[in-house]
Amino acid sequence: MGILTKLGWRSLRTTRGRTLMTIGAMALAATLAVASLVGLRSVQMSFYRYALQNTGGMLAALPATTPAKAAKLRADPAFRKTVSYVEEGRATLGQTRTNHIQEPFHLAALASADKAMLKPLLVSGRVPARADEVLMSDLLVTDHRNVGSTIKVTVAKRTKTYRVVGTMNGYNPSFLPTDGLIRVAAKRPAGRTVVMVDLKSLSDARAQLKAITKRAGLKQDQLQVNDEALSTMWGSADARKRSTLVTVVAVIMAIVGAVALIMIYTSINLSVRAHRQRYGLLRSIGTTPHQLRHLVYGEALMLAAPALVLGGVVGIGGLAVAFHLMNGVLAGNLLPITLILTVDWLPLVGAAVFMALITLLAAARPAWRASRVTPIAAIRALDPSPRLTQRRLRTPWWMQYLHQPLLRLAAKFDRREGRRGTMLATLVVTVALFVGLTGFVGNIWRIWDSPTSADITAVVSGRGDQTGAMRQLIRRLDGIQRSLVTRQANLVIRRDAAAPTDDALTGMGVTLYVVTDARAQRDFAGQPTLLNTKLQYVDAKGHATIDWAVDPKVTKLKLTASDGEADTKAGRVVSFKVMPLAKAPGFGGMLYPDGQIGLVVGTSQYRAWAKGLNLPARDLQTAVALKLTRPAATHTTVVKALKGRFGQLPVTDTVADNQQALALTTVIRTACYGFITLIALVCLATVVNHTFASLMTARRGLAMLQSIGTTPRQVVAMQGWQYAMLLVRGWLIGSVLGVGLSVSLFKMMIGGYQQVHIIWPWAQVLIAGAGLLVVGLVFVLVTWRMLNRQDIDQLLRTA
Amino acid sequence: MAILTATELVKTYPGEEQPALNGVSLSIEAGEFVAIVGPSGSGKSTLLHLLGGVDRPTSGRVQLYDTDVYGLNETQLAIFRRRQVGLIYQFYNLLPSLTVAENITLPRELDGKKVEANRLNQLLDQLGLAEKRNALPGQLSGGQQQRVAIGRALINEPAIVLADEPTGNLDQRNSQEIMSLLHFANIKQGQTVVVITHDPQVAAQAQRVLTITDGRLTEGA
Repeated sequence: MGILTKLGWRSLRTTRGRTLMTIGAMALAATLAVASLVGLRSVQMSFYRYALQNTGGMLAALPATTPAKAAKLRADPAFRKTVSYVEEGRATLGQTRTNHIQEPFHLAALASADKAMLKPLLVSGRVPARADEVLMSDLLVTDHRNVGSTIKVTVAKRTKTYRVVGTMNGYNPSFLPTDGLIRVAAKRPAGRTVVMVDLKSLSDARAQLKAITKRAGLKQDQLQVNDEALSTMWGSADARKRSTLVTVVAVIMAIVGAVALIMIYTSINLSVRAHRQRYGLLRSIGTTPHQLRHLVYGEALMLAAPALVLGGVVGIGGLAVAFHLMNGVLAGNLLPITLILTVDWLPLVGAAVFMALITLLAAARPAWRASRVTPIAAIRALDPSPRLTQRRLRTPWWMQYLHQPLLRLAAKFDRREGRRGTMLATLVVTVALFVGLTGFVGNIWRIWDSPTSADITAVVSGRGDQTGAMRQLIRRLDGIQRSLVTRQANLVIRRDAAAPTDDALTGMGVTLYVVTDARAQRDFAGQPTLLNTKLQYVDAKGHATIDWAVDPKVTKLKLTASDGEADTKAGRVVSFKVMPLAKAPGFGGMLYPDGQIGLVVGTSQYRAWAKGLNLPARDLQTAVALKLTRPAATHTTVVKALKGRFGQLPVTDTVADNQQALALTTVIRTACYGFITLIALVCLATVVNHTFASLMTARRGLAMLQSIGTTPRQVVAMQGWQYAMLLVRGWLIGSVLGVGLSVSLFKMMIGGYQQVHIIWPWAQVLIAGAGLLVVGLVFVLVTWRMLNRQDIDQLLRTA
Repeated sequence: MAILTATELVKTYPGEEQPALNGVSLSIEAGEFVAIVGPSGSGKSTLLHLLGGVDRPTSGRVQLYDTDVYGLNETQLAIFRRRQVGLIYQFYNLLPSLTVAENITLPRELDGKKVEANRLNQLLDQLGLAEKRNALPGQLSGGQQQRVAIGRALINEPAIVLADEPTGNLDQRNSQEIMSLLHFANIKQGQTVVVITHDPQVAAQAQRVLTITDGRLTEGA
């Protein structure tokens, strides 16, 4: 060990109290760094696992043309797990077309060993167990084709009979063909095999998959990837998403870095100031400036090492507790995501490197200062007088209003003590970050859907007119405040010379609502009525405006029935009157005010249009929207009743969704507030550290004041005024900056969305003020105790 | 042969009208034992610090052998002090967390060189500190601490030893011991020694006495 390293180590051990305080302060910064990096990594892995659930735990799917290629793919060492299925061919059911599902669809065969993958897809029934059983997409369900039915399936001109034992969610993003049929086979049959894979290493996953695809002799567009999962691991194909993710992480670490830098800089700077005479002595016996800089850097790193270990333990322990609590909230609200604490080498090494770099950066200026200490400092122990400009020596205009002598003295000291700059900067940063970030978080999580529409909506498809049965059910249910039962279908607006439209309207969807003639007469004067909604439009420059979806002066449009992707139907020009949705009797308050426009017609009118629209009655769905008197208490019962009466049907439970959203936002808000509070505490600890160190340095000066007749009470009062001036200045400047930060972040986040107004963070400003008041009172108390205990004579004798 | 030459040294501290040193010139021969005396505030310590490269003059030159001391940059000046100058202070100025042996060998170790065990043992014996080699300064008496300071000043066998009131904080017995050590170094090892003192008994032991009054050498230059 070199002599200077030995000197640094011994010096730290000798001044144990100061060393432990410095390690403690740096450990706070390390806690912040470790908790942030491990927390971000854990959230990343948690969301990755959550996104992977959608594709049965598989990251990608590769179609192999031959069994040999499939076998080769399965044997690739890059994969942690592979599951294969065979596409047996395009199938038809040989029955009348329903639900606008395009035939033919896929029949796939999965090995029975892998049938566990089908369970998450189940909507009703069970997973096939025998060769003559199939799982059917719920998009194919009709009155005559459901669980328990026998169906004839034709593939490559060969027809086989299967029994439907279960239905699966046709919109599930799984790699399995959920829009068709899946059967289970004891042995994988021959045919085009799709190999679903999960990688061993997620490092540059997209590039790995591309390379594997190329090696397998496949085209890149044949590769299917769970983009949502990959995007959580920096692998999104969307460059904007990637850069957004990187930016968020960079901003968080920049804030952590800035706060840690201030904290560590203050600690090391105080230490260098305290050892000025020692540095002067070393310089006088021949230590070069370079060697002194190394001494300071060495001491800083010696302090950072135990701080990092302590910070790591506290940070990871704190995260474990926080995750446990948050998982309880998530599970209690039936949210399917679990936060998994992931402590692997990446964030730990990252935190160590981060702390080392921040420490070296923070030590740079103090090291430079130490190297500038002249040898004469060894003899002249007192700090040099601050370099004061004439401006600082002059009495400013406002001091004439200070009549109290102590207050005037406090103001002079405050003005002339040059070292307050760092403390003021730290205070300003603390208050600005606290007010700015908490204000922003408090605003941003207000933006979720408030219940301005129905609490529950459901749609019954493929079973003809179920409006009677629906109304019967509603009459039996408790707690229904309002209901809207209609038949409905989706139409699309087309261009036509007889009904010209602009580009914004062409292709827009319109929901056709068919009501009874009596109701059409009573509520809409028997006329077809377009229910107009307000939509937000964002121009190329990102400016948002809110306007009617359809110009209220429009009286006719060409409409046609939507038929999946290929809208080739001729359609019909229809005339109507326009009414704002909010004013439509029975519809206002039940549909989304910024949702799709609707067209209400009576049954007779519909019949007259049906042929022109190409919309037969069998294609109309039965739709219900319900508003509940006691949503939280009764929503589950109502949903159960609907499913009990009509089987598995798509139901939107806004009450449950909002509860889940609330739980999720509570968890995220807690995490954000926790992060911000930790930052604020670290900054505050810096201020406290600095103030106490300054107090220790000022002891001799305060002793001199006492020696010339100033009472301890007067000295404390003077110090108190100095603290107050500093804290108030920091609070005011920090609050202004914090409010500005909150507003800027909020405007950046909502991107011109006009329907949310900012809540100014005055509460946060007051909380910051209250916090600083408590800190100030503690300083005063400590000063009082110190003054009452110190030996004035001893202090005055010490050089 | 002159080992150290000072020419028209002037030192004025910021904010003060009167210079602390006002055109001091002197020359010290190799192997001399010189005492600089003068009343309090006369500029003795200032002169010593300028001769040792500890402080920079407002104007004037200091030359050690052929080296213009104040023509050196900060790093060169530090190395110069380490190798060519041995400094002894009134208040010892030892590093409290280093042992006796470590304090003594510090200038050599700063040079990146190892101290031969024989050399260190010999020096410790001369200083009467052989049994205290592993003690910390806080465990030593004033006289012992000053002996450690002398050892530190001599370890690199510098061209010149500058002592600022080395006995100022010691009783008579210890003062005598310290002066004996300095004389020993001067006579037996040919060490050039310059001592600042206000003690006439200390000054009487020197070969040449320079008197400084109000920043000027008035006698014996």
